[in-house]
Amino acid sequence: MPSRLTQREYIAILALTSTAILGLGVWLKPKQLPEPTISGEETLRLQTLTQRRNLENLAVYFSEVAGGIQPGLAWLNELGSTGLIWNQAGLIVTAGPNHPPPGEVSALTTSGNISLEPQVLSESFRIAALKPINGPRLQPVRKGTTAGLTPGIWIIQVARQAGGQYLFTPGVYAGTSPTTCGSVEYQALQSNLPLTESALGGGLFDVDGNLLAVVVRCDDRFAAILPPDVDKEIARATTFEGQLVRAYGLQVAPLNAVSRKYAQATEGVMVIGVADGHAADLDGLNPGDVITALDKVPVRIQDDLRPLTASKDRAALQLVIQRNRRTVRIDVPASAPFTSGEPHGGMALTDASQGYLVEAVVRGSRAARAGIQAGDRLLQIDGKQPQNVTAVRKALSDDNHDPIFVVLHRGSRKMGTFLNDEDIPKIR
Amino acid sequence: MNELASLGIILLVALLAGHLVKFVRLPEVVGYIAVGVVVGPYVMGWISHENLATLSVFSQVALGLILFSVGSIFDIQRVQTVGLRVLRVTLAESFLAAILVTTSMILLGQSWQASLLLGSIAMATAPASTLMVIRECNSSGPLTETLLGVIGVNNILCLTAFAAVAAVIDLSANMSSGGGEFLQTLYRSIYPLVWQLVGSVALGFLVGLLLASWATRVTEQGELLILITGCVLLCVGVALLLELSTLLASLAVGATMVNLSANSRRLFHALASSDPPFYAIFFVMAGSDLNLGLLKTMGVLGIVYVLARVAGKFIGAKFAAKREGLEPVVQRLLGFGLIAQAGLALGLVVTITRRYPELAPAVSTVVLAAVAISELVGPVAIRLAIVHSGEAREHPRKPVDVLA
Repeated sequence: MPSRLTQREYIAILALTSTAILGLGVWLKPKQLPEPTISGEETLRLQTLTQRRNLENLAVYFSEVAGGIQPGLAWLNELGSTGLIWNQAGLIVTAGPNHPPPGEVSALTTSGNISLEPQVLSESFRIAALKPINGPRLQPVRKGTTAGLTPGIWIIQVARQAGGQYLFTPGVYAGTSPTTCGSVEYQALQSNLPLTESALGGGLFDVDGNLLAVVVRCDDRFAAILPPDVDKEIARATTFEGQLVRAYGLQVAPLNAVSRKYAQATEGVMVIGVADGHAADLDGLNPGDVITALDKVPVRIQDDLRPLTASKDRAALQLVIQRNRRTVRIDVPASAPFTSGEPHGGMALTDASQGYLVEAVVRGSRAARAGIQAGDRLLQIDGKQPQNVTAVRKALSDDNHDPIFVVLHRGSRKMGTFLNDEDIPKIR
Repeated sequence: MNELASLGIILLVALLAGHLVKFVRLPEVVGYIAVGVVVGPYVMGWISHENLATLSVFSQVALGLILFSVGSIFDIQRVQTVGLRVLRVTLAESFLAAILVTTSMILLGQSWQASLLLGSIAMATAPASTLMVIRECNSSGPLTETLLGVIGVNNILCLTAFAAVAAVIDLSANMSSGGGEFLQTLYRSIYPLVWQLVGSVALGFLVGLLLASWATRVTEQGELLILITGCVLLCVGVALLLELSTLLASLAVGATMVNLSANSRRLFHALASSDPPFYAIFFVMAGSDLNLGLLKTMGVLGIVYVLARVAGKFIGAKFAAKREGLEPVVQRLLGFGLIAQAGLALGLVVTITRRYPELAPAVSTVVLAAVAISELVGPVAIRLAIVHSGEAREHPRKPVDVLA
C-alpha cells in the first residue's frame, strides 16, 4: 500500500463520515408536500365548474362548426325557408313549397342578395331547386354520407332565418330508415333533433360540416332526407312527367284495357294525380278524367300535353276530357304557371276533413298493392262519393275482384288509381 | 430504427466524421457533434427521439467516465501548489460571466429570477469537449493544467450558484405569498444545495475508496477496465437514485482515486485507451439532441447571452491569471478554452422546466440556442488555444500503429 494509505485511521474516519453524510442526507430529505385537502362541497363545486366549462367548450365548438357551414345556406325571402347551395353552379335546393313559387325568388346569402328562378320542382313537391339569375359566386355545402356514422355521435342542424342570421342545434345521430313522403320512398336520417317549420330547407350536418340530410315537409310532418335521394328527386323532376307536375300540377298515365273500359274512351291519357291549388286543380281536372284532346289535337300519350308546359306566354288552350262517360271541355287560361303572380295561397280547394281516413292498410292487400297508405283520405269510389263506411269497406275488400277506381287525398294532392289493375302505375 | 442499429450508426458516422474533420484541422469533437446534428431527429431522422431516450444511459456512462478523468487533476500536491490560484481564476471568470449575463438580461427586460438563473448557468463550461480536445492534442503544460483545473471547479461553482439562486427564488415566492412557513421553505430551498455538494462528494469518496483499494489487487488491464467501469456505473446509478449530482460525484471518484492509489496513472491510462467509443457515442448523441432550428428563435436575448458570457470568461480569466502571476500563455489563451458549454447547462434547463415552469420558456430558448453555438465553436477555440500555446504534441506511435 502506498504511503498515503498508511494513515488507515484517517481514511476510515473519512469513509465513516461520508457514509454518515449520505445516511443523514437521505434521512433529512424534505418530505413531499402533502396535497391540500379539499372539502367534499368544494370538490363538487369544482366538478360542476369543470362540467360547465366542458359544456361551454362544446357550445363554442358547435358554434364554430355552424359558422363554417353557414356560407352554404341562403334565406329564400318569398318561400320563407332556408335554401342549401347545392353545387358550383349555384343551384339552391330547398324544401318544396305547398304551392309553386312565384316567378322569381330573392335569396339572402353571406355573399349578398341574389335572384333565382324556379328550375325544378319535384313531382312530389318535397323539393324545389332554384337557379341563380345573377349575383355573386356561391359556396356550395359539402355533401357527406351517413355510411361511416355510428349511432350516438354528434350531428348539427343548421338553418337560416329571415334576418340572415342562422340557427343551429346539436343533436345525436340515431341511424337511417326508409320513410314514405307522399308517394315517394326516401332514406331518412333519424336523430333526436326536433324537425320544425323553422328548420325547413336547412340541413343536418356531421361535425366536419358535411351535409347528411335536408329537412323537407313530408305530408303532415317533417323528415330529413339524404342528399342522394334529393339528387334522384331532382333528376326525376327534370323529366317531362316532372315538368307537367311542376308546371301544371298534373300527373297522368296511359290508358289500358281496364281504364278504357272504365272511362269508355278509346284513346287519351288518364289523370291519376292533381296537386291542390295548382293550375290543373283550378281548371277543374280530377283523378279519373281521361284527357282525349288538347286544343283539338288528339291526345294519345303523355307527351301530347307539352303545350301545357311549353312556354310562359302560351295562348289559351282547351282540354277535352271524358268524365263519368260524358265529354267535358275545360278551358285552360293563357297564363304561365310561374308568372301568374299569386301562388294560390290560402285557397283550400280540398277540405282535408272530407273523405274517409284510411287508418291502416293490410300488407299485401289489393289496397296496399295499389299504393294506398295509412293517412290517405278516400274521396271517391268509381266517380262517386261513398255514402257510408260500409260502402267503403265493401268496395276496398279483397273479396271484391272488380276493378274499382278510387280517388284519394294525400298531402297536397288528389290521386286516382284502380284497385285490381296491376297495369296502372301504383300511385306515388 | 431500433436502438442497436442507431448505436452502430452513431459509432460509424463518428469515425467517418473524425477522419473528415482532420482535413480541415478541426477537433474531432466538432465532427462528432456536427454529424450527430445531421443524423439526428431534427435533420435526417436516422436517430429518433425515442432512440436518444433509450440510449441516454450511454451518455450518462460516458459523462461519468469523462468526469472521472477530469477528477484526476485534483492531485493533492498539485492542488497545494496551484490550487488556490486556479480557484481564484475560476471564481473571477465564473462570477464575471454570471454578473455580465444577469445584468444584460435585466437590462433587456427579463425578470430578475430568469436573469439570475441564466447568470448561474453561464458559469458552466463543458468538461467533456475540453478533455476530448486535450486528449486529441495530447497536450500538457501550464495552459492545459490550468484549463483542466478551471473546468473542474467552475462546474462545481455553477451547481452551487444555481442552487443558491433557486433557494432565493423559492424564498422570495414564499414571502410574496404571505410568508407562511418561512423556515420550512428555507429548508426546502437550502437542502438541495447542501445535499448536492456534500452528498455527491461523500458518494464519490466512498466509490473512489472502493476503486483505489481494489485497484491494488488488480494487475491485468482488462480487469482494471472492468473495475473502473463498474465503479463509475455504480457511482452514476446511486447518484441518480439519491438525486445527487452525477457530475460532481464522478469528479470526486477521480479525485479520490488519484490521491489514494499509487496505481492511478496506470488506471487512467487504461481508461484513456478504451473509452473513445463512449466519447463518440456521447458527442454524436449530444449533436443529435441539438436543434439548430432554435438559432432562428434565439433573438437579441440569445446573442447578448452568448456575448456577455464569452466576454465575462475572457476578461475574468485574463485579468485574474495576470493578477495571480500565471504564465503569459495562460493569461493570453485561457479565455478561449472556456467558451464551450453543454451538458450541465442543458441539465439545469431541464431542472428549471420542472421546478419553475413559468420561467422555463425564456430561459430554455436562450440556453438551448446558446449551447448549439457553444458546442460547435467551443472545441474549435480550445484547439486553437492549445495549438497556439505550443502544448500540443504528436501522439506516440503505439504497437497497433506499427502493425498497421
